[in-house]
Amino acid sequence: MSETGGYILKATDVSKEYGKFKALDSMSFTVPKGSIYGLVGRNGAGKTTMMRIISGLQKPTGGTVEYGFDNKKLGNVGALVELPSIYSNKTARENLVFQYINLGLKIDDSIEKNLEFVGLGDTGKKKAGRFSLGMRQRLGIAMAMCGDPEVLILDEPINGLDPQGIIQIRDLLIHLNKEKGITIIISSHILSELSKLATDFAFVEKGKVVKEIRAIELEEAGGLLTEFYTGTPERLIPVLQSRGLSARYDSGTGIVYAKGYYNLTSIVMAANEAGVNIARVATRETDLETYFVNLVGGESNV
Amino acid sequence: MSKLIKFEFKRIFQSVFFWIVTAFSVVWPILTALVYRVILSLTFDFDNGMSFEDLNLPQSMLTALTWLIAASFITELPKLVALFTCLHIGRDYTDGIIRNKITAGHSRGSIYFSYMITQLCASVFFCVVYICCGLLGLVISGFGVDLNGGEIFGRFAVSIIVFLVMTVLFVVLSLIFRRRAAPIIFCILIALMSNGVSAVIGLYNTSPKAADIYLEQRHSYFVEMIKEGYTDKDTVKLLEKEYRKSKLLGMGFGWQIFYPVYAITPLGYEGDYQIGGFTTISIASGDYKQEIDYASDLMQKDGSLNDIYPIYDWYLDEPSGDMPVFSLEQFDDEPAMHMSYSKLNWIYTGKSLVWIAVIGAWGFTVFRKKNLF
Repeated sequence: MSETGGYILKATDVSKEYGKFKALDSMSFTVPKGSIYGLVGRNGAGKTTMMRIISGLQKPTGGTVEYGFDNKKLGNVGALVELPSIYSNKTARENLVFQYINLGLKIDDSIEKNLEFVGLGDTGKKKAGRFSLGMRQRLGIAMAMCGDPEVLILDEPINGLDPQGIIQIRDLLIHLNKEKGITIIISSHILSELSKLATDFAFVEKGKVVKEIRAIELEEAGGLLTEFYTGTPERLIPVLQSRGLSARYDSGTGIVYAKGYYNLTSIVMAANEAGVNIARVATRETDLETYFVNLVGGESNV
Repeated sequence: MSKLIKFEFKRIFQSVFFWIVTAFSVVWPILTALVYRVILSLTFDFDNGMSFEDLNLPQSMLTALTWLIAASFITELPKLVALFTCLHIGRDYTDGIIRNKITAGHSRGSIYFSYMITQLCASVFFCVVYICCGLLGLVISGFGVDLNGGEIFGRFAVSIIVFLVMTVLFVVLSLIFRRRAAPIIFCILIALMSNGVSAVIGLYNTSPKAADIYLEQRHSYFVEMIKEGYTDKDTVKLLEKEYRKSKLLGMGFGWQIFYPVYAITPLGYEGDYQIGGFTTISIASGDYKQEIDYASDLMQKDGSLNDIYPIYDWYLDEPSGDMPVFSLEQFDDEPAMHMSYSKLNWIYTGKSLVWIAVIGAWGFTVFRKKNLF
């Protein structure tokens, strides 16, 4: 998975059972160092349970989680699981001061820099309890960032945010990853946002990782899918293939599926020359959501 | 763990509720001393109505008053400390701070013991402030203080240790219930019930061995009374059945339940150390006991000593000087009939430390396995 060969976290056959219910069933994945690693899955697939386990909030009933760094060192793991952990009756700065004491860090002007970095430099004496959800999330991220962690674990960090808040958090995370080199493990229901952010994906279904894929590979695997409705599929398929498209006929639906990008006029003219009658053409672009649905089946409800 | 302890101390000192409890620990004992002063100085007669008189307390009563006011933190502070502990730790759950500490890399053990240590320190602080202000209040109100030659400090120390058992319980309950309301309800209930329960359990403090010795001596006395003709066998049989061991020790099976509780827990503290509340002093019956005298307690409960006489006709014939006597003095040299407070201090210290360890260990076991989300 990793470009550099190094990993920040490696989960091997991690299981978590609550009585007879298996929340995680031998889940395995590897998070490359320096990546933004997206966990994608339906509700109840096991993403949050996994997040809790890798952030130390829960213990697995089986399997191992290895870290590619000293995870016992204070502040090496930053996490924001579900809700930000902040004192609602304290200001943003006071919250960071507490976090610095918590981590045994020297209280200096890096607190102000951290606040500036997450865009909370001008909150002054405003208590965190009076912050908007986006501000609370950013403060939570600032808290998690204290001590320059090797990895940031974020479970649904954009849940409940307005579009402006989503953009702010997305930019912040990209900024953190690019400028500070922090590896980020993130789960989100909002796949369109995740696709703009993550460099690697793990698709989770029924407590297992069913597929790990890099964003670049996902782009290659996706692309344009076209449905040709024709009465002469045996003549159309060679035409499509001659233009570099992969094509197959589904006898059940009577549709010819072609994958890849093309010039429609050129295809129609070539088909006409080959005596192919095309009744209708429908196209759809395969994105992260479509890929996920195709992978796990059923309707997307992530 | 030192980082977490520093973190928690900083939070405690910034807590408004901490300063409210501290203020209470300052004001309440001083106020109590002043109120006592007014009440004990107040006299009433039909000619002059109400008036204040100079107060001249006997030494023993002054010692008792010193003890009662300064040590009353054990009845006054639990409710506030319960609230303080539950709100302080409960906030960490609701704000997700405990999760934050774990994800930051602190072990559950460090988190648990940092809460425990800092809350225990806060409790000791409240107690010490309360005691100091109680003594100050006695001086301000004009009573003065009598520390029984410094012996009273040993009892203060024991009171604080007993109080810490409750604090440990509050901390554990606050840490094992994630919802904020549940530990508040439980801890307040415990705090409210502790006084009553402790007073009741304290009633069952007589050792069974002391009762055996007492009954043996009483039987010898009855035999002598029969021999001298002051009573007969049937009466003695009846009285011995009526005032049997279980009755003297306390309400039959009640003793069988409560005495083991008394023996293994520090719950009999209020009974043994006579933190009897306002009425004890206000009716001027306060006495600073130097030891627990089981014989005296047993004799008070033993109605047979009054009932043995009816067969004797007091009006026709005065009792002769030869009539057998049953008195407390005959138990003076019997070690099992006495419990000194220096020994009791060690017993309560031991019991309290054991319970602190037991409750603390149980809490740690639960907290370690708890899902913190």
